[in-house]
Amino acid sequence: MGELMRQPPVTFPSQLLKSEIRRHWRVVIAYRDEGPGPWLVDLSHKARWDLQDNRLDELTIQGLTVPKTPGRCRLENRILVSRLTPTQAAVWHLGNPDAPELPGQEGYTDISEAGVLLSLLGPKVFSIMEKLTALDLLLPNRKIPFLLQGPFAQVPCQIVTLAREKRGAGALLLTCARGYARDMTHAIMAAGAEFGLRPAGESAFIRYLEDLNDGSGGGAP
Amino acid sequence: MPVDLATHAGSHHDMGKRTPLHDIQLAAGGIFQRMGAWRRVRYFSQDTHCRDEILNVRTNVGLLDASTLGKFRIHGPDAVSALQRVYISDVGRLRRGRIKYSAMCNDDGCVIDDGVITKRGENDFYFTTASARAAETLAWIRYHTRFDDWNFHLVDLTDAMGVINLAGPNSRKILERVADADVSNAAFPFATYREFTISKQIPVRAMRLGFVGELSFELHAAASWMPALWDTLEAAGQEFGIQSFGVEAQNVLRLEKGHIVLGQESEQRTNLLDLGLGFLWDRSQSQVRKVGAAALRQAEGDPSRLKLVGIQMEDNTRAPRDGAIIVDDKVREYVCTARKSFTTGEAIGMALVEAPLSGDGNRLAIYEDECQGRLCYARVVCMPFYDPHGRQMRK
Repeated sequence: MGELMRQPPVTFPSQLLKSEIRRHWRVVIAYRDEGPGPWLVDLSHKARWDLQDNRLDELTIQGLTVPKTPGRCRLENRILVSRLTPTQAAVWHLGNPDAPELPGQEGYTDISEAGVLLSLLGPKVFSIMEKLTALDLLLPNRKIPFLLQGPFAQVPCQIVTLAREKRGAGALLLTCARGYARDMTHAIMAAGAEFGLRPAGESAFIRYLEDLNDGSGGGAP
Repeated sequence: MPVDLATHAGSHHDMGKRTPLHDIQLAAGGIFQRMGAWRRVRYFSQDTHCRDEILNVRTNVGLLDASTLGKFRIHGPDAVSALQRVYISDVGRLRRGRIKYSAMCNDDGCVIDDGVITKRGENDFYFTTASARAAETLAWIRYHTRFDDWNFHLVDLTDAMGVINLAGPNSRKILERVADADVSNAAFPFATYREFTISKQIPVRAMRLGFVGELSFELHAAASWMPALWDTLEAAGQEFGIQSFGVEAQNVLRLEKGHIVLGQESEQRTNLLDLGLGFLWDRSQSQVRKVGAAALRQAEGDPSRLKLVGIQMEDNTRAPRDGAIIVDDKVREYVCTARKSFTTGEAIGMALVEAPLSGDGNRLAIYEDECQGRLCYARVVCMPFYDPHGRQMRK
């Protein structure tokens, strides 16, 4: 029996330029003709953990402390830690190509398969988003990155604003239940058509991540 | 905060869920229907009675996509206490590798969910819920434990895990070919749980269950692995003529076995006892405040309750429509599900009736829409209609 392959929750009709196999996934690194942005990137292959504990404030996750307030996030070393509730946090490994081993401590669950993880980045991303949600993803008083939980295209989502306007472009991460993946990407692509939204491979997101000041936890708008 | 005009002006997409096996089933000729949030295959042919799909499971082997089932992890020091609160059975004595079927009731003792629970480790459980109930489960458990200061963690894995039900007398022959474990009846008996890999690559959580009344293996795997798992099983079953079956075939198969579907055989008035599930109720631990137990104690012995009964039509050529009402001089409740059974050759069903009408052999008059006054008649009969001793699923 040859190597069996895992399937992503969503595929784009764009022509593949570069891909690589990681842990039985074919990860798209780049598509042909990704254009000048905005871009939609499927990051569903990235490892994500759920952490629940009633002593979250005392815990560190690979050296990162959990933000004190629900809705706040910390992005360091390409790991995003978001406080969801007083007792629950989400940990997304955005940079690491290999899945890190789940810590042995109680409270962790690997939820990488539970949702589709999308990134929308580039110019006009907030113009696209406002066609799909009434959530205010800019929240000028909130330090970035920050998390909102609520309906997006009528589906319960977690949305992290990574950058409001970084050299004229914004960046967001969005996750929802895996079953909605295809309808969600369809809704976003349709909303973004007038702005030239195109699918992009993982490298577009990694480039953007490199461009962000990891150590600052986002920085002021 | 005012809503942006752009939000109002944006198009409204029909947002629905697809299982990880959507494309495979579409290519196999699946005819989809929207069931709650999910798109599911109801039939695999234009035969809406699903004769071939049903008989193939009874005599050979079939594959069903059951990925819409709710799936949850509960873990932490007080996980057992939380489960004991919401499940009507005694979950505390569940041993590793075993599976327990149980139900959740509301404060009125009415059944709101059923599913199976298995213990994967110390204070670490995996449980399933009805597809339609999955979205409410986290809130339900949190709500009913909100004053207890218990330390447990709940994770919704509904979309993270897919499920394939490999069912039929030949199902073990197929699983043996691809499983990296002994799946014989001795090593993997009925109502047990095992974890192993398929083709040395796909990790699965396997349950020996029997919802359709046959030897069955319910295989739970990470969503991204599901297409590969389906293809592997299908390839291994090719020489046996393995076929997919859909929700309607499953509906008839489980009806023949007398297994209920909540929402179909139950409604907001029906409690655990009405549905004949009283055997699930653990009354031994009075210190465990189980949701619904107080109401069930009051309902015991109440002669005015509804009863779920099996019915067999006098005219075996056709079954009444689901929802047809049972009448004498007034409405005496209704038929929940009824179908012509290709397995038994009879038109059978399950009905909710007032308790005085529930005696074996009692004749029921059934009124259907547009029947123009011509009633059809059924007798109350014992369930299950098929394999009453459960020998098939324990093979």
